[in-house]
Amino acid sequence: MTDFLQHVVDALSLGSLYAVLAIGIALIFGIMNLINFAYGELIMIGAYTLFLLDGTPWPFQLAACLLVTIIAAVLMERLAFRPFRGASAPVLLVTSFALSFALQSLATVIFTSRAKGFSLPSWFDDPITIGSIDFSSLNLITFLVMVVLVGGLAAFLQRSMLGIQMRAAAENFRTAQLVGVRSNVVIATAFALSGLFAGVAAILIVAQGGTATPSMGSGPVLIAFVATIIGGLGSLYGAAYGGFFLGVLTVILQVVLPDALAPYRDAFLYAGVVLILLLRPQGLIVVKSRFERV
Amino acid sequence: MLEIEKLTLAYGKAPAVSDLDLTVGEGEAVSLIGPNGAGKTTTLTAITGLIKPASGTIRFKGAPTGGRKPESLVRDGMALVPEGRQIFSTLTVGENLRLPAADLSRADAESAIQRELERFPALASRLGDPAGGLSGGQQQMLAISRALLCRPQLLLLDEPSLGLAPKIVDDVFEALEGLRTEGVTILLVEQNAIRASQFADRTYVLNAGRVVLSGTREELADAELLTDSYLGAL
Amino acid sequence: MRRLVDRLLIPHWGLISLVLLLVAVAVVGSSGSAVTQRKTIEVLVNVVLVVGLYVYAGNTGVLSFGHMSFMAIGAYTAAIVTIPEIQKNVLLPDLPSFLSSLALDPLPAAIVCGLAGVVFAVILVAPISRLGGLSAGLAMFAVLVIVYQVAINWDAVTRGSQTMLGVPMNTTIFSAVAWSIVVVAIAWFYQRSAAGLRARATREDEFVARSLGISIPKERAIAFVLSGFVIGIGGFLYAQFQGAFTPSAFFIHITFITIAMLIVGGQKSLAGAVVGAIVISVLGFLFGDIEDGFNAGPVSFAGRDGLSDTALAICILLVLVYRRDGIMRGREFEWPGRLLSRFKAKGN
Repeated sequence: MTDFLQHVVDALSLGSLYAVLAIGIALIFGIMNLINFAYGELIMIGAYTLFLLDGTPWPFQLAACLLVTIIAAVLMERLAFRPFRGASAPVLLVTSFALSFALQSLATVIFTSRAKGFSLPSWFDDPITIGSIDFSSLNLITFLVMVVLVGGLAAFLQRSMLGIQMRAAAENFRTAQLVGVRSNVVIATAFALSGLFAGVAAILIVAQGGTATPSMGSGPVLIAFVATIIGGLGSLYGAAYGGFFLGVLTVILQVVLPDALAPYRDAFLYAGVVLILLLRPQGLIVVKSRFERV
Repeated sequence: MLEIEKLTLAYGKAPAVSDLDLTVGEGEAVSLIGPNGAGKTTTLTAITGLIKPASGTIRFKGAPTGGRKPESLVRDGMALVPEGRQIFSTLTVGENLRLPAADLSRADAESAIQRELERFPALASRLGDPAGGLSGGQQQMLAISRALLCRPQLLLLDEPSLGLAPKIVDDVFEALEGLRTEGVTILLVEQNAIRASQFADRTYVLNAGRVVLSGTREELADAELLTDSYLGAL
Repeated sequence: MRRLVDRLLIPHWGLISLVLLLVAVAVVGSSGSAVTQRKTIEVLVNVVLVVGLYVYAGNTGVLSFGHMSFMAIGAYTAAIVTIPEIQKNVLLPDLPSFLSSLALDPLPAAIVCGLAGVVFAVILVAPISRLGGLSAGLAMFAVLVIVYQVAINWDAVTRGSQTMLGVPMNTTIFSAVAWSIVVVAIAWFYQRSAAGLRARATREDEFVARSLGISIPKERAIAFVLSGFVIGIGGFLYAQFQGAFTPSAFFIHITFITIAMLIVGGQKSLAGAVVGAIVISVLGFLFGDIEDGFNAGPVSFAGRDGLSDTALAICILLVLVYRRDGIMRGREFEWPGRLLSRFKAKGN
């Protein structure tokens, strides 16, 4: 029983992290039809920021990380993606691939490919015992953070004028322009939010591993990409569910697979993904248009 | 208000509109009619800045519109009721109305929306509903209100009667009459040639991308003339 | 003579021009240093891979993120069927005996590897051809991950994460250019065949295609299997070129590079695939040389790791900004006379 609860905790925690990753990608896809592979590099930039500020007071360290990823995201849009507005989907894909590649290589030039180690405040990863379950405060933090972020995003999209504009733009970009929605503002906001989510993801990921490498963003962005598609392209809720689902499935596979098959865990995970795609090609959440109402 | 000179629009290499000349004077109601594929919607798309002309100029309030973004033209006083309404179906009716009024103060926005609700009472009772649940006619009213909330000096309408029952079409044209009395300049694109040419002060007939006939309401009252131009006999 | 030109040369100039281009690459390359010769082979192998990707992605419009799984299949099959028996017993002791004793010559081996690609494609084809767009692309990526994982763990057949060694290095400039010409011809005649045209119809407008009675899954399936064959051969060429490799050679990096080559060249034409592969490969070499550092008179530049990749990625971005639909803009090479008369007609 305690083992089972332990696994539930793990699943909730990993699912929350994957949900945060997925929303970051879905935010931009919903508005621009662009899968931003360089999102992984936003995470990397956040991690390197934490590394460079290692030793400073942690509130400052974390806040700086978020600020840097937000600014990096907005710059990314302004400099790299704006020239490609309106391009076809494959071109946008290769563009974001190339950008991701360029940033990774640049990081290798600047920081070399050796992992940089550093540490976050210890309370981040403190062992907690409730009843007979041992888990880490990080599990709890990850879950709470996800709830706060998703709730905050939903409130923003529902209540604020900018949020309404973003939902309109996500449904029909052209018509939104025709009622005066400023496309540049809406797109920059989407990227800024995506940067925020990337920064948070960076903190959560680093809290587990404690290192920064140039290619650390590749794994997370792949997960986010897969989660967004199985969740239903363009739906923010779909992305969150997709991410959560992948996290839970990963933990389940980890637990259930016999030792001999354990190294094949990812293979089984992706086989599961193919199965979902075949059974529900439009995704777990069928969406009429993009960002749904709460 | 609107001057179009020698406008040529093309999708790739195929010309959709060739050498179009068209003017809309302040306070006028002008209609652009023609069969399917004549290039009417394409013309509106160019006027609103969504596509770039291959050649020719479009002047709005005296200034050329070349290169300007749609949102900037909207802020300058141009509004479009798009083909097929294209209201935001996942937003509520209220949110659809608040969108164009985004840069107004809270109080101004409220009173402007109130005015629209008085114009179309059917919307008032459904403010909190998702706009996707409205009937075709109600969506058309919503689309018109949404465009009016942009406080336009020039209102462009793309086939407002499309897909609507005759009674509803009457309602729509009644609303347009009301707008004309209020002094709004109107450019109406329509397939319903008779209604459009009877409503508008002047009408242009477009066929295969070219103007084949233009005239005042009285001049075009001759139904045969209209049919001939439509079918390409002119 | 006139008839020959009109009936053979002009309509197939798209193919002939590409063959001439590949031959030119081979000739220029073979006159260079040993290093240049190896780079030339690499360019030609890339051409085969990208053409294989094009056969599917270009004709059906579905961009697959996992076609390099066929390359893995081809390469490992090559290893199994061509490594001489004595070495194989050391490297892959657990192979069944009929495979251990197999050591094929390059030509039959290439065909076998292509067929291995076909078999793999046939296994996948039913589910994959039903999916479209990003779902299909992602499903193929899942396949890529699965193949990668299997390769890393199936020690008996692939030596797991250890390097597969000892593949006879039979790929020469000649064999590489010969095979590249063969696959280009296959792609050319496929896209001009009825099947190819139907596939392209599904690419342009699914709805219209279906109303014409075209079965979208069936056309995708044909393109899919054909592309499996071509990339399988590409994997074979790669294996007999490098002589040694690990599973990571068929994973993310090659996937990105081949997709970039196709898009930069222009996804919708065969010339785009070939030109894209050549251009990006050459650029990669140029930047690689710069990265190693050079001395140019008073200026000396000590390269740093990662610079060439950065430069290459930036180049890709620059090309796409100025030529959104790729270098060839989705067109094949046209007979100059034709081009000239069309130009004149436009002026009227």
